[in-house]
Amino acid sequence: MNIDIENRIKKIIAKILVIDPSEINDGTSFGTVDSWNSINHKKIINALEREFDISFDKYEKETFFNYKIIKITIIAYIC
Amino acid sequence: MKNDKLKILILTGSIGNPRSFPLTDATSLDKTYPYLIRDQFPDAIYWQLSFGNITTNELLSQAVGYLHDWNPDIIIIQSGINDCRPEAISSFQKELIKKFSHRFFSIIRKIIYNPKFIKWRNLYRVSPKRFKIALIRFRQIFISSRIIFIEINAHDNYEIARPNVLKRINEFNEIIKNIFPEGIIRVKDQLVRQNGYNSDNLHLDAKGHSIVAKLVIKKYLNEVNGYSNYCVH
Repeated sequence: MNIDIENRIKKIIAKILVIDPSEINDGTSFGTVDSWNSINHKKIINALEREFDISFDKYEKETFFNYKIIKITIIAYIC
Repeated sequence: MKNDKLKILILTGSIGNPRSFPLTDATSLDKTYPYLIRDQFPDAIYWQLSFGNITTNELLSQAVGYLHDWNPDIIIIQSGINDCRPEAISSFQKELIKKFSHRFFSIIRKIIYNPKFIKWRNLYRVSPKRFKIALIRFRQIFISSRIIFIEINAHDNYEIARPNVLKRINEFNEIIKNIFPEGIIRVKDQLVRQNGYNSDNLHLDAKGHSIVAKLVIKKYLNEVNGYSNYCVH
């Protein structure tokens, strides 16, 4: 199940950042991808909330600067 | 012999802070349990955040935001009472009242902190589900750290000011125990036995801080693998 969740997250992030999902790993972050700017960052959060039917806490959203933390947070909500 | 310094992260609500009022309950900074722990391990590197009236998710998110790459060896957390204690109105409603009727807030305050009103409304500031998610998330992000979670606690007399709080504390402590089964520390029995609470039945007096520090140090910090290998200069 976790692999399915990860694939869904990567697909969303990749679509918004216009990169290949295979390029996304735990090190992918605000600082490593040029297209990960503040506007796309908000788009990512909104898209993930819709995809997983989650409403993130505002303090969580402030920490979503890398894929690893996003992934861990979503898994914590779902599992 | 290793030269790596032990890295200790301490995250608490107001209970970890010093207190200056009332005078009978005053506890200076160097008598608080985070500082007593520091005294015991002077060669370690510390980062401490103790913030009053903070929810657990807000507190833990500060560490996630700034320290997720620091990899602390030990994380000591005391948080949860702000999440679980019964409230008469929501945080949002409280802010609205303060914003639009700040002149009357002192009057309204008497209503919203009235134990009977609290008992009737019995709201959560943070739901058990959200509390659980915050802890699971934190545990996974700091997966290589040994996490010590001091149980949520208050003297039984706190029930007078906050009806139903003891039940809520038990409920949230069960969540902590499920997520940190090896890491939860029980402190209430010793605090009650040795009279370590101050007059609000929640915060600690100097004796209480000493008790908590000893329990943390005795039970866990001396069990850290290889601690004896750290140089004490």
